[in-house]
Amino acid sequence: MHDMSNGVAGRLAPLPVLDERGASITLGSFWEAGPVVLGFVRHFG
Amino acid sequence: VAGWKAALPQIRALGGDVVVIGCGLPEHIKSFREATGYEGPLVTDPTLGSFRAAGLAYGLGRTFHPRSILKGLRAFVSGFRQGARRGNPVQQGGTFVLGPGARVRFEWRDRFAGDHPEMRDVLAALGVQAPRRP
Repeated sequence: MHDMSNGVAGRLAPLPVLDERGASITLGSFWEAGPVVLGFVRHFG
Repeated sequence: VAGWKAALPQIRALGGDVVVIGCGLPEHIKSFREATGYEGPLVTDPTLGSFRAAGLAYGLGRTFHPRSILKGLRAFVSGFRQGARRGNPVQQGGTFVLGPGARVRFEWRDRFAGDHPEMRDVLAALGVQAPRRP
């Protein structure tokens, strides 16, 4: 078993992002229990 | 977003999800959802901290790269029209398949605007076998 805490998932997990109401969500909460495709977009538009 | 939107039901059937993260203001999310019809989670990071942590490219040369201009022309010819840009146009995007936990299944960092991974590669990271083209 490899320790991936220094990988991109580990770096991103503690960071806060905002939902459409402006509420803060910890990014890693999205993939805690199951896999996600995380798509970074350049801009909304 | 169109590719992720199309693949969303298949990904959810496998117990996964698609999370789209932009860099505009939270109030821009609603109009983006309405314009794209994307129904999955949409969040934003105006600080760009997560973009930097993901190692994504940044700079004018990446946005106005010759290959991104060519891709833009092709998209225009096929009918795509760019809407109002809300965010940071010189910030490049990327695609990751992560989890559960610290598992990293797939990493892609756009080298220039419009440089996206093949959806079949993204789905393969989730264990979906894409049908062969005839």
